[in-house]
Amino acid sequence: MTEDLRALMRAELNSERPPPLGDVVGAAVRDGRRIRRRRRRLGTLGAGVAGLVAVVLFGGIAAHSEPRRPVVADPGGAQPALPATAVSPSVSALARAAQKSPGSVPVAPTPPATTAPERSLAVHSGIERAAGPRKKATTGAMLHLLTELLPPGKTSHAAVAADEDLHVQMYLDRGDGPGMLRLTMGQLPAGGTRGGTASVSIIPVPDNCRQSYVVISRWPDGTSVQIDVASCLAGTGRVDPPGREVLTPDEAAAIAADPRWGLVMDADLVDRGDKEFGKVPVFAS
Amino acid sequence: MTDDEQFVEFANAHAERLRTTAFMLCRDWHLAQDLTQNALTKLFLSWRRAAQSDNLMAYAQKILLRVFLDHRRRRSSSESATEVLLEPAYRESHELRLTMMDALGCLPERDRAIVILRYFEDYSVDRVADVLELPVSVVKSQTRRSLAKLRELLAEEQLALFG
Repeated sequence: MTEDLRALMRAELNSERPPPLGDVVGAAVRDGRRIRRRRRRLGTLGAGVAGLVAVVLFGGIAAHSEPRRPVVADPGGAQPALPATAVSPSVSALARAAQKSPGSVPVAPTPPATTAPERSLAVHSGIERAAGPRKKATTGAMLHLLTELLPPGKTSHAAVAADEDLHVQMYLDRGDGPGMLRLTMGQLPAGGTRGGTASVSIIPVPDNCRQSYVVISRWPDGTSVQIDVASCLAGTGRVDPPGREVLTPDEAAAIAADPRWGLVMDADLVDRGDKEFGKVPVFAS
Repeated sequence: MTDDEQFVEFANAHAERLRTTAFMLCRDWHLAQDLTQNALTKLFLSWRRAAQSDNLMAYAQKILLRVFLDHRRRRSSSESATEVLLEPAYRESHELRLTMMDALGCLPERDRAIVILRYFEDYSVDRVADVLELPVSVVKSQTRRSLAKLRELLAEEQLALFG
C-alpha cells in the first residue's frame, strides 16, 4: 500500500501542469523587508512611547506615593526608567498586529498548449551615464519614464499601488482602444554590479487577463523590473472590462530593459516625474 | 555572501519543491503559490535562526506546514471537512475518477500533512513528529488511520468504476 501510495502521488503530480513559479522569491524578499521596516519603525515608536509612559508613570507614582510636601528641587536625583522589558511585549504585539499578510504573487495559470512559449533573452541595454545627481526612485518617476518609453499613443489612468511598493499602472491607446500596463520595480540581493546587459524573461499567462503576459528584466546587481501587459482593463477583479494588449512582447522587453530603471534614478527625472505624477489615484490590485 | 543573498540562493533552489508540497496539501496551485510565498517571507524574517538549523529544508517545510495549518484554521469558521470531496466542475471534468489527491483531500489537514511528509517527502516518523511538533505515537497512529481511510476511499472508487 505504501509503495502504491507513493507511486500514485508521484504519478498524479507528474500529470499536473503547474503554472510558472513567477517571482515568488522576489515577492517574499520585498514583503520580508517591508515587515522588517515596519518592525523597526514600530520599535522606534514603541521605545518613544515607552519612554513617555515611563516618565508619566513615574511621575504619577511619585505624585501619588510621596507624602504631600512642598516641592523642592533635587538636581542630583536620578529618574529611574522602566526597564525596556516591561513594555516590550506590548510593543512586539503591536508589531505582530501590524504585520500585513504578504500580498499574492501574481499567479500564472497553466498555459494551454497553443500559447506562445515562455522565452528568455539577454538584452544589451547599455549603461546609463547620468551626469547629474541621482535620487531614490519614486512612482512618479516610474510613470514619467514609462510615458517616455511607450510607443506613440494616448496615455491615461496613471495610478499607483496602495502600499509603498514601486508599482504603477498606465493605460495606453495606440488608436484601436486602450490597454492596461502595470510596472513593478524591485531589487533582489545580488553581488554583481549593474552591468549593461539585462536578462529578460517573457512569460505568457493566458488565463489571467491582467497579466496576459509578463516581462521581467533582471540586472546582475539584482535590479528587477516587471511589466504586466493586460488584455483587459482594471475592473472589480472578478469582472474586468476587455482591453487590448498594447505592447508586443518585444516592445515590452525593450521597455523593461531600459538602463534608466533602478531604485535610484536620475534626480531630474525623479523631480519631473513627481511634478507630473506626484498625485495620482491609487489602483486596486 | 550576505544573509539576504544566502536566503535568495536557498529560496531560488527550493521554492519549486516547497510549492509542490503546498500543492499536495491544498490541491490548488494558486493557493500553493500564496502559501509558498508566505512561508518564504517568514523564512526571510527568521533567516539568521533558520540558517543555523541542521536541515534548512525541513525548517522551511515546518514553516510551510504552519502557514498551511494557520490558513485552514482561519478559514475553518466558514468551511468544514466534508465527505463529498470534489467540487462539481472538477468532478465533471474528471469523469468520476477519484484520484489519490482527492482522497488525500478527504483527510483532516494535519493527517494529510502527516501522510504527505511520510510518503511523499519520505520523512521518517521521528522527523514528521519534529516538523509537526507531535508525539511520535500520534504520528504513528494517525498514519495507520489515514492509510486505512485512503485504502477504503480508493477501493470504493474502484468498485464504482468497475462495478
